[in-house]
Amino acid sequence: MTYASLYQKYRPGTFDEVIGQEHVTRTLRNAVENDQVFHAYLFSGPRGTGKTSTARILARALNCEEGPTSSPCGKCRPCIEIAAGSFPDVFEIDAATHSKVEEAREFLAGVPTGLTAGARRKLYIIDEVHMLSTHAFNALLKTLEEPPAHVVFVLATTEPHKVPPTVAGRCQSLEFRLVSPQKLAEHYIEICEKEGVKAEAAAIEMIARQAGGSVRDGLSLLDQTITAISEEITVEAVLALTARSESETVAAVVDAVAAGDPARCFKLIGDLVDEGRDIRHFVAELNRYFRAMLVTVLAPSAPGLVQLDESAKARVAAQADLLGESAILRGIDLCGGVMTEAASGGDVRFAVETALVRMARPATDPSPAALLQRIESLEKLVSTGGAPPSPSSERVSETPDGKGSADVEAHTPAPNPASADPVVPSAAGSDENAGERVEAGQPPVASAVSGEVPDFDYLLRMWPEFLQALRDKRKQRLHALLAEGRPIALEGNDLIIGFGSKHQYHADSLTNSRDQFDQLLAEVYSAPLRIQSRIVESVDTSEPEAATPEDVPAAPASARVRAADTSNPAADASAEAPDSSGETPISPTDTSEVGVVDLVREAFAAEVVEEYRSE
Amino acid sequence: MKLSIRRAIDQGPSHAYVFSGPPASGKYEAAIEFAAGVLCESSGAPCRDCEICRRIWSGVHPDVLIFEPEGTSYLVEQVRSEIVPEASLAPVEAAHRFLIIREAERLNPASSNALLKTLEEPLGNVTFVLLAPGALLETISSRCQVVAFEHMSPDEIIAALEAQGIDSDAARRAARISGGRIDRAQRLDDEALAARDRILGIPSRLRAGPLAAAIDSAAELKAAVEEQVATESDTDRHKREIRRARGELFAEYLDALASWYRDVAVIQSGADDALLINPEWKDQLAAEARALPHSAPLAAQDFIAQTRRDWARNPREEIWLERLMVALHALEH
Repeated sequence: MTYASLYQKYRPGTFDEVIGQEHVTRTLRNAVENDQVFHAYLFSGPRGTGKTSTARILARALNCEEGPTSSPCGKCRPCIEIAAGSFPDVFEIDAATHSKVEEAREFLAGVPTGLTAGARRKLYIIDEVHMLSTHAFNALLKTLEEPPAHVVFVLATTEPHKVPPTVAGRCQSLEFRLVSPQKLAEHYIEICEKEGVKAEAAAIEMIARQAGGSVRDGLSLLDQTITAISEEITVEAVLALTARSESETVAAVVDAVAAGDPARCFKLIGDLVDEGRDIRHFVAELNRYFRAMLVTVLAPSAPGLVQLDESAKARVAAQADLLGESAILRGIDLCGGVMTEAASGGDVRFAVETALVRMARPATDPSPAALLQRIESLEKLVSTGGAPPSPSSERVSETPDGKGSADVEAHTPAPNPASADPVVPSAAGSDENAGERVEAGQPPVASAVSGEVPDFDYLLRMWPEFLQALRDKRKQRLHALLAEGRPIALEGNDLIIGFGSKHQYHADSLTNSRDQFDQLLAEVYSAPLRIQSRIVESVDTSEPEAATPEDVPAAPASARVRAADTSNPAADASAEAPDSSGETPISPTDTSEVGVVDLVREAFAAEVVEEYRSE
Repeated sequence: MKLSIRRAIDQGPSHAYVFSGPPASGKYEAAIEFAAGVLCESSGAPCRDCEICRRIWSGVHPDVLIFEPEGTSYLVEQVRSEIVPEASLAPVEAAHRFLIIREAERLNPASSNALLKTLEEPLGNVTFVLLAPGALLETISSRCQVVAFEHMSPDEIIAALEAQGIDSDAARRAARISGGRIDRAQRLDDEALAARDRILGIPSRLRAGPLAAAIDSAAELKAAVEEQVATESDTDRHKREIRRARGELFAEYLDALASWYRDVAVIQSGADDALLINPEWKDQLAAEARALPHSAPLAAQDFIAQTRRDWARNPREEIWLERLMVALHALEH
């Protein structure tokens, strides 16, 4: 009544039938033919590569009535009895259930006894031998070294490193290897023919790939597929068993990670959960995807290491380029952590989300790998002359040349302020959260009359608040731009920011990012202000400060305000005003490096404690 | 019933299966159905009504053996002396035996290995069914047909709850916070929701209070578990069942706490509020999101996961909870 599984039914019966282990079978065949069979063998190799089967074939080869022969007949009494496990002189011992020294001594006691009628050699097949206790291994040593002439030992294990060298040294070691998908596919097609099952070639190839080099793994899957289908093995039937492919979601998540967009990661995982999809499977695929990216980065020309079609390959390559090696490695680490967590029964969703936020935002990851990645991206910035990263708040090591820009733009407010992306507060105060966050740092704003354009003095007084708001919103780049200029006039609704002639770059960038500034100005001043940049010959950030130290106490000082401290920025800023000169002298000198200090500060959540100037 | 199991019943079961899927995805029920489907003698098996089916469901059929770990893992001795010998015995009254191994992830390497040979070629007329939340040792799964189980989607849970007469708002909320687990969703009555709210209040209290608040919070979470177990447990429940219930509640409350920090991270990321698991707490979550650095809610997830792991090894709630709360307290300050 029990259905015999395929791997039991199609266990190889001769050396020829063993798949993909020619180096082993050749050795054994020659040994049998030349009567040079060694007294002890150690078969090692991954699961399902034919260790136990080969040991049984060796037993048959030695004891076949036609033999000793390298091709046992399979029809005589010894051959049949060995296959059934009832031949009196072939002992198959499960070392994992009989690992104790007493049990080892028990069977060792039988080794010197003679042969039964019809037997030529006595075989001891000790399977899962790595599980023997140390004492049991030691009890084996003497017998293993010099057994009686009619005895052959075969030790089989998936974990040869657990076999003591004293034991391994007394055996001839034969290593079984994983089998290539091509060979597996050929084998499975043959079996399908014998079983009278029709099969699509692509479906069989898929099974062969899934098998991961193990004949038995693939046969278990084939078995299951045959059970599930009614007529023909199709790709769909295999897919139904191996869970749906998540490749689209995986690629989208990687895009979000590369763009440093955790909000999008949350959204994608949320969709996955809503559809009741298997998150563990998703993580496994994500892990494979990271591996594909790693291969693309490290060995772009190696064929066959990654099995993807051309368009997918191009996408993987672009993403890999954007992320960089250390980010990819970290991604693999984080995936591994999630899979461990999943195996222990924890909530996989939270684990995945946490890992993804860390991938997207290295600054939130305390691991050394994350630090390394942040250092790398800083190095990259410094070596490229300190050009600012394209999205203002990003810390991933993306190149500013706009590769994968579709995704970068999706969450970067500048090109598309009206984007529906939740990261972007699309209009002043429309995003409730953003509004709340600003509010906490902006107690004085509440008094400003909505819609009315305030006078210039008020603007100047509130300027530190505005800079603080930039920091609160982590718009480090915008903040860095403003650090080189200062408000010089209010013309109608246009707030004019003056820049020295050295800071043409800043002035231009400011103009390009105007939309974002205007939005923030509206939030802080509750007035429809528009920002304009103007190059003014004499304007140096330190000059007006010296001229009107009391009117505008805190403009440059705000750069020193801690990003984390949102409790009372006004007090904070003015309190630090006196030593604000500590910050300003650096500005005129570092014309090419837009706010490197800011970048460092952001990447490491650091703050300037003291500055040393080389004169 | 899953198609592949239905087919296996029709064609005769193979000798080894792994039912793999998250907790409460119906693995155990499916294994019992599977056994009943093979052993039940009525047409259209399993009929769920005959004497055989009833005995299988109540766990007293001599040919459907259900194994659980003694303690926190299967000891190798348990595998050698209880499970392996059973696999070579002839069926008692049916033509076939089922050995159902619950929580197979608790097979340690030694006990897994002890099972390998038997699992590959059992001598008797036997089918092994191993139940596990994730991957088992490769050498084990290589010998088995792996049947994947999944969580229910929120829509499925809502439909199931509504079918039981629960109003749609409550069903929606239950689906959101149950994490795809229908068992949890069904347990969420007013009392359970109140307990959950107490748990969700912990982070705010930790932030406001001194270190002593951490110890109090640990005691509070433990008390919540005790109360719930006390109200649920009948006097004559088996000890093992009570332990299971405790463990389940403990995991559930830790998940509630994890969902809080997860929501904080959602807000910090700027994602849509629709993604929140606890939108009822939006204001408190937003306050927390402002106060904490972005790395903090993620670190909290690590602490909670660590607590879960340590607790699985050594189920002493006090120690792990106090450590967790002290760590979270430090995080909040």
